[in-house]
Amino acid sequence: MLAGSSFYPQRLQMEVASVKRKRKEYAVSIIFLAPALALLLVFIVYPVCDVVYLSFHSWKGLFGQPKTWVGIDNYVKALTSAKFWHAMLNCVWFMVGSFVVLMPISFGLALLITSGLKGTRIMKTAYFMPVMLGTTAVALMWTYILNPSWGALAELLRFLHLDNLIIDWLATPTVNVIAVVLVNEWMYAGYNMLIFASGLVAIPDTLYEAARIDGCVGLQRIRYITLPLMKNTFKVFSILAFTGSLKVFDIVWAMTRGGPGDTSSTPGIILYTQAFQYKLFGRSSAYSVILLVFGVALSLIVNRVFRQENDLYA
Amino acid sequence: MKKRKRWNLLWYTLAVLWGVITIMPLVITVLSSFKNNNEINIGLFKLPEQWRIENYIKANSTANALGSISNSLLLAVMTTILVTVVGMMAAYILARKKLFFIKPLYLFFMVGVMVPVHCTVVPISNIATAVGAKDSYWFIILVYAAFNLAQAVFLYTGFIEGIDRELDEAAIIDGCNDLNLLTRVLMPICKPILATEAIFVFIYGYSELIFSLVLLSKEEKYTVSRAMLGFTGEHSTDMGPQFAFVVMSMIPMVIVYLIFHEKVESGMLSGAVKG
Amino acid sequence: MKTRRRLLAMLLAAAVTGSMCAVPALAEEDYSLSGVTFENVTIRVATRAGGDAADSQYYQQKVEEFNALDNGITVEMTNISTETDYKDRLSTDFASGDAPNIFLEYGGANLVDYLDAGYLLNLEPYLEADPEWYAGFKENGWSTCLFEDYGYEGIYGVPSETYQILLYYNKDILEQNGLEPPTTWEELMDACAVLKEAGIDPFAVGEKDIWRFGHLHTILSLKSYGADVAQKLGNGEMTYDSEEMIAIYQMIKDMVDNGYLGSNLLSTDKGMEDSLFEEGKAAFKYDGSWFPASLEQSGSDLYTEQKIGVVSFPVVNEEYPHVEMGGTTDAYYVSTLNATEEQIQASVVFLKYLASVEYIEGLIQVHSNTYAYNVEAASDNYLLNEVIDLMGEAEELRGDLQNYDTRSMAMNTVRTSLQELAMGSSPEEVGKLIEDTLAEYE
Repeated sequence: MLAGSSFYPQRLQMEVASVKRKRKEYAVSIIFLAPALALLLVFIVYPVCDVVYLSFHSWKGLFGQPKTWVGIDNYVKALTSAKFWHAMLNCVWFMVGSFVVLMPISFGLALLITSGLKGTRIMKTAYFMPVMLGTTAVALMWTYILNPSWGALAELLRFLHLDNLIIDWLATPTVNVIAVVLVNEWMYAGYNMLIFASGLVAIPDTLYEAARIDGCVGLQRIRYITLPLMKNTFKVFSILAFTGSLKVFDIVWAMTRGGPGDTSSTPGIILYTQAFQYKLFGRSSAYSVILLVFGVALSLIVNRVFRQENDLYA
Repeated sequence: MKKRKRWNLLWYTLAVLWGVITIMPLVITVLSSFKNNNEINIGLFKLPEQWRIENYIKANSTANALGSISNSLLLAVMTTILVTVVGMMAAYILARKKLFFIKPLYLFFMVGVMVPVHCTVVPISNIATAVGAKDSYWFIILVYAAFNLAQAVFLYTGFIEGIDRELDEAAIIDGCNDLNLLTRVLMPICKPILATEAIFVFIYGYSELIFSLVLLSKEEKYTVSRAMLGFTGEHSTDMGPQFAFVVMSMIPMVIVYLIFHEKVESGMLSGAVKG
Repeated sequence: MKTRRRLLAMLLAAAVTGSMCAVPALAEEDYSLSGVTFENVTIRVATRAGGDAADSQYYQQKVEEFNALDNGITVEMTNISTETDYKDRLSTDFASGDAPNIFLEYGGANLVDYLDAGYLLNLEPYLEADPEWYAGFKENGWSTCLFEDYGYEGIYGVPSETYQILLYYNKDILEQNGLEPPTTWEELMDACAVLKEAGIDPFAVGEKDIWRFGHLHTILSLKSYGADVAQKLGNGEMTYDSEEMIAIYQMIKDMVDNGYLGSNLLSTDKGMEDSLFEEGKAAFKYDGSWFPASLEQSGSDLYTEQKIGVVSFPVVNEEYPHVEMGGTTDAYYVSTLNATEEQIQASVVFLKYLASVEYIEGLIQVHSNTYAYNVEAASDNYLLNEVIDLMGEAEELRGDLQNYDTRSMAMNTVRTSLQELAMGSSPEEVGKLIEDTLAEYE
């Protein structure tokens, strides 16, 4: 009221301050993002551009040799290949496994190691062991366990007089994919346990205490407090699971090499063999682009799904 | 109370059961490290007939254990530091600033998680040749960091978004600038996710193969996975010593895992997450 | 007018090739490289001689000695012992222009791409200028270095190791069942029937590694139709779904169905196959001449007691008793991609060093194997000596049939499809699968 005379300049000052603040926001944002963007541009975006360019060309992978324009030929060949769609089907197995097997187990393990039960320290080291041992050792062990002649699983079934259940698991179509999927989930349960655990420990104890007073215990507690608060973690898990399934390579390569025949092949294996064994770099690039498009599409869907749930809880 | 005890018992049983089947590969690896090829191929689950300690000596000489393990340690530690710092800076902006380019950028980062590694090998080797960075560690560290950055930013952003904004506002009123807010306020709360991602990045950097294969030639620069290839000859693989080397090279990983995992639990700060 | 245009085209072509790869145009006497001196030339050599195997250690040590010679040449080694990783590295190096100056390869059609691009050095003038070096190689070792079938005159590499596929057998098992080492396919089948009856696995094949049936298919084809079958399949005169090929698949399928190749052969890999044979759990094994060395290293009692015998692979068609699967495996090639003239000359000097009598004698002593050099050195591996004698009987040698095929994916396609024989597919289905898959890549 007293300052009525200085009303106008004050508004100007505020506006100037807000423009200044905005400008500072931009400056800070750009400075903070710059290193990450630089790394991404050089090592991810440039290769992806190169792959997109190559996917419209035919090239034998020899430096200095011309890359011949072939239009969408590589895409047509890739998308009309029965082997590719079979490999995509195998990816679907991996996706199903991620949500039906991996998610419950990882989440359960995360609840367990954060529950404060005694002796969990040894447990959590054990759970993470397969990831630390690496794919080669894990794959070797499981191929021996699954060997129908002298493997441990076959011995167990023989002991239980279930001999007719013994088949060559890793050489029977479909069964071999499921076997590899299960080994994959077994191996990465500890890995995803950590992702869930980091979400769980961030939930304040006070919330649980309040809930306990309200008579909310056990599964109810998980349903009404834990899950809603872990929404972001589940979103991250879903996107990592989808994209991981699309580009899965290591564990399949180590256990079955995509075989026998091409029964357990995945798109990741196809694009690798096309480039490095058949020297069809154009074709291989087309597969990479297709995988990227699928990946982006699936991630957008996941984002949409979680956004809707967000509205529901709000 | 009785019901609770029964629950606990069930939990314990399941926990121990899962623990047993996940610890099994370690047991088999240790047993195999004392065997020869034929004992491994035909009797993987049996005890070795004779404990071949010499496998460890052979492993050490074939893979230059001390050298390759310390090389891998160096790469892994540097990558972890780089990813944590660079990733956290980016994630802070993506989660907290409301500017027009944030959303598209977030999607852009997401693409980074999806790129199949094999299609980037040749272009990245091209870059290395162009800048003369073959056989140099700094280049490999940058590559490793780039490939882990997308997932790190992703996890960090998700976590920060879950932290109550009132905390930020309080800090800003107290006169915190962005850097202080990030390092003094958010980083301590983010400890669980930082430690988790640090474990992932460390393991990646410690055991990565394809880039170290393509970019390194000099034997004294070999990493653990690269040195591991030396156990395979043109016509056969020396499996016993290979397993011995797996056992030796695992030790740093286990230590790092235990140290960082302690941090996951000590990082709790109640009231930080919006309820 | 016409001649002028042609001249122009030739000049253009010369300019293009000249700019892409500096192929040295030396005066004739210079090819011996006797008067050439080097100053600070570094060359990179890519091999599979990594790790702790005796021959790898020997190679690495000899390269150190070479570098200490003070001849102005420094050799940098890229040694990757595992095959897929080695090929990954080689493909990447050639794709990004940072190719090694010398690299090890297995000959055949996959080198034709390099030749078409003009990236392989013709070593013929160098060899002819140095008769001593040229004469040091065995006559039959050159096959992997010649590409006349593809229209390239000259010698594009120097051979190193040779091999042949033979039939190894367990003397005790054969004796106990009253069997003689088989010399014909019928005898082998009869022996298999007897062994199977007695509850012994005749073979234990590790078909999880797809090259096991690949080798079986190649040797059975060569033994049935002679050495020409390689060229015929390569130039399309014979297809993979022809009656002749289906007959070969049928032979393999019969063995699978009768259980002669072992149980669960799709979950057995080559390592297990070796172990099973070395532990006396299989009577026969078809394998390369490299097997005696790995048998010796395995510490198996069967080696120390000399219980393993070897014969040539049984005769299938009496017209072709001495056509064998074999030839040169490893050969060294010199790349001209982004290489300077000095580097190319230094590479030739290093190749000569690798083929020197002193180098070879040392190599044979540390690693019993068969090499492409005219160096007489007895091995103390009894089985290898028998193998070397048998190899002397071979008259015509061919490698994997797909090595003669210009389609670089032929090898993998055929091998992958052959696995279907162990999964219940009929020979006709397999033939069709191979042709269909190959057509997909046209």
